[in-house]
Amino acid sequence: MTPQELDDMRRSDLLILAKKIGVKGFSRLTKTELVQNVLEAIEKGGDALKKELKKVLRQAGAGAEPDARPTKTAATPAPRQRTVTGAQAKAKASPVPGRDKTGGGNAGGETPVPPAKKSDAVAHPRKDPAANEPADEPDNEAQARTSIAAMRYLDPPLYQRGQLVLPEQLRDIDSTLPDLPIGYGDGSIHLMPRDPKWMFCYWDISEEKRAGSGKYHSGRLTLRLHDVTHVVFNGTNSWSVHQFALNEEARWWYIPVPSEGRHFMAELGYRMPDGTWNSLGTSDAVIPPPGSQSPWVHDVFVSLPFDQPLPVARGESPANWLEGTLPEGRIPERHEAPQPPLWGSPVNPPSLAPFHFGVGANPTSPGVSSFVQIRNEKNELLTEFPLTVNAALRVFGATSPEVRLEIDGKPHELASDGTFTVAFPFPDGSQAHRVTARGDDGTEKTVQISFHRTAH
Amino acid sequence: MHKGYLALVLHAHLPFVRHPEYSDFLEEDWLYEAITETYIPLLLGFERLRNDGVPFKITMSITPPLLCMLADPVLQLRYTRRIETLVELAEKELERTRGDGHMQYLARHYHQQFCEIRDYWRFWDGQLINAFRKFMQTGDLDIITCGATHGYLPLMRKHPEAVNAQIAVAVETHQRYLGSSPTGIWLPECGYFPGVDQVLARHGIRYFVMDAHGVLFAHPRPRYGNHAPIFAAGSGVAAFARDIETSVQVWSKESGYPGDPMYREFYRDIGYDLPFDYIGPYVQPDGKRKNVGIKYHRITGKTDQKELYDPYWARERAAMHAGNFMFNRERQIEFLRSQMDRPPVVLAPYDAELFGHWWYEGPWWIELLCRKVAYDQNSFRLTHMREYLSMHPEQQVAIPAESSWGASGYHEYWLSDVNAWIYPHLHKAAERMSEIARRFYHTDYLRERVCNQMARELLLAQASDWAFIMKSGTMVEYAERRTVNHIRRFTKFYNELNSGHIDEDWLTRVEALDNIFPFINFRVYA
Repeated sequence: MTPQELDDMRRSDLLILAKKIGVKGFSRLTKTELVQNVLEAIEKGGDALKKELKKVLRQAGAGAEPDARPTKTAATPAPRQRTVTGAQAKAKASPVPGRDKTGGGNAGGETPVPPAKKSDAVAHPRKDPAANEPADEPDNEAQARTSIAAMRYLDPPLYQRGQLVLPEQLRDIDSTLPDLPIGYGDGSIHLMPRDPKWMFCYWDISEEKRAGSGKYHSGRLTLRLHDVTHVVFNGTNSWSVHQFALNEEARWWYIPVPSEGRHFMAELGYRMPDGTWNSLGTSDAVIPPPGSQSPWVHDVFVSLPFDQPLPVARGESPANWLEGTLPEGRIPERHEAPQPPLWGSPVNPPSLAPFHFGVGANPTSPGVSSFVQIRNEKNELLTEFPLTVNAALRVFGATSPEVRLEIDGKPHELASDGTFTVAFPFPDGSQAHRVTARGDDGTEKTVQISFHRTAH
Repeated sequence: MHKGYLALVLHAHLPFVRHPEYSDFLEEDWLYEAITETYIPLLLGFERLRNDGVPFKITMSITPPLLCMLADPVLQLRYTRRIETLVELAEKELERTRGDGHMQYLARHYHQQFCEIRDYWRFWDGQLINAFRKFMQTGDLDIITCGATHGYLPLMRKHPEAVNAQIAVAVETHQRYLGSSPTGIWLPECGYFPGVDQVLARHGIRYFVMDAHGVLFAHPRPRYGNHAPIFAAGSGVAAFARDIETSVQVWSKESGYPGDPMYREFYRDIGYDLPFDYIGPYVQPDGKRKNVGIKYHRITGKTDQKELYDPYWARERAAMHAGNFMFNRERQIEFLRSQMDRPPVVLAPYDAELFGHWWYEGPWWIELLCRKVAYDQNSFRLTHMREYLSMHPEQQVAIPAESSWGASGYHEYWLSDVNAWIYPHLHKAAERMSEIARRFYHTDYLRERVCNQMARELLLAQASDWAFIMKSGTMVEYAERRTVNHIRRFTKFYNELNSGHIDEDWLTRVEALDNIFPFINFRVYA
């Protein structure tokens, strides 16, 4: 007995069949629902019932004309659709549809429920045929929905892995699920660029970790933004730090981007009254998107025939495919150009060799030829040479090797011969730095230096 | 001799809105309206072009959730019901407007149009994907893919497995429903970040679309601006930029074509205008009114006073606008050609649903534009990105700039005060999915089903549409509910796998409800 066979029977025959096998409340079911309920009863009934069925079918004369116009169908959509509406209306108040339903699989909602079928009620609580009963009360809207087309195409029964699933059973899927947690407490700190000017940082720090890091010892929750361009960050070696004092309850923060094209990392922690820093962790480094045209004009053209796979798709490393086309096999990063990295990378501390300024002056800057092409507003090539001036500030000196040195309050390691050197970005404006040396006996020497840069 | 190319790109996308649990669900209308007003009218236009032997080339992205919905039997049957009902209503309108000359003319127009749409739907037996395939096979359409559920990739990048899954599942969906691997992609919301191109390359994708500044701000500065693609330095995948001029002409509320007074007014629908006892059976079952798709007025002006619509004159206006668009492209391409040492390509990408749904005359405009370009000028011809790249394999190498085509050009629309709260949950779910995929890589059938369903729930939760709707402010509850519920379902499965007790019955029901990507293999996250 397949659903198809049942479907092909007349409703009147189905009714006889339903009566025979004991489907309760059958007279009020629509044809689709009858089919579903009969199928379920057959599942339950076993072989004896199947034999009985064959008899009934012979009498009824299976394969008769499908019932073109089931009398009750016109009214059927109404109660179901009213349930939709109810749920939609509720959804406005609560995020979960059908949550406050009577529970179980009964999504018939407002319909008065006659006693359910015995066999089903226990074994299959969600297959409650009563849920399909159309409402008894007169329903004007339902009467209005007498569209012929709407009646002709009722939803087909839904099967999932051979199992019949009633629409009603899908409505309360989420009803027992707990709400989303406020956080997961996994200690993550996540920095995301939002646009060239802003980044967004959120974190998920457990209460235990906060307590252990000084929350209850007058620590102030603080977010630090480190410029870690070309730095393997070790906690202190960032090029610049911006600090934001937060409320304890803050869970995310928008951070202004200090400068374009550089790598940033967020660090969350507690700043203690005595100035110590208890870090709660760091984010990954990100580069905010560029907000303007690249200053770099450097035409490299390659030919990649469309009918051949890309080198990367063939398994070549992304870094390799441009080899031979570009001097270093890659395009230098935006902030490296047109000026080369001013401080080298921190793994190679700045040498005392004189600085080079301007385009292409540094031999390590890849890919910059001595001529560059720049266009004016009319898109005409200009042949004049460009000039870009940048500045870096290098502070260096020497003291006894055994002395402890602090620069701007941060400990700084001395070279074995007692010399030290540190570099700072030097944009327009003023900056001051304090260098303090402390001897073992507590003596202290401080030198404060300040600088001002303007460009005309 | 042609001096350059125009590449029209139509992005057809809808989030997965399939609700078998209710026999009538408002959000499903998005699909039905799009089929009636956009997809079939476009296809009918393509049919006419083809029949008349007009050469045309258009790129369309059909997103994986849209493919899954177009292939879904429940939705197909429901759409059949919908279009039949619409024809029935149009018949009633013929009766109702008898005696009023202009109204009768309009009623006949709609009746004829809906019948044509119904017949086309019947012709393809509801398998609209096959209609698109037909034009793909003739080479007129280049159909490209998108993220598996239109997930916003730049805000997903912390979890490369999740980004990879969005692309991998999309490519597989494309192969299964359209019969071939996609060579191009519409990155969801044109959201690009450096590195995503390498994922694309690994899946055989050769080109994608960006907003103008994605290429203009590329590094080094592209020599040809927005009028030639660049090869992304990490991979060699080509990035095509949206042309600013063309987008203003069609998109702009003030100066764009769709605001012309002759065109049909979107906001005057008989679903709202007619008495309830007449229109009742055709609006929402709870008696709330909605758009039914029959609109009798034209935009007229900025006041509420609306004149009756006239499809004849609207079509004439569409022809005029197509001519204007073509003229502007001729001048633009001639100028660009004089500045460049190669033929420029002007890329004009739009949301497909703009045409027909919002701008009723849009499909006519596209058809007329194709005809005019073919016969009325010699400066340029239509192309698609695939053809362009085959003919012009040499391009500049640069790093495209992180960007999107959303308001203000970056990620702000999807990462703002109203929707930022979803990311901690989405990121956690992505992290858990990879963990599960590795732990249960070799597992039994039941757990495999759980893992696969988890992948579906995660993908559905990641759809950028939810964050977009939260920001745009209409249907917000629905978007919030979808995000929250997919994650809650995901979390329940996660806890079940951890505890070892799996509620198979519940699993079956969730599978029946969220049945997107029937073939998914969760190991894509491993």
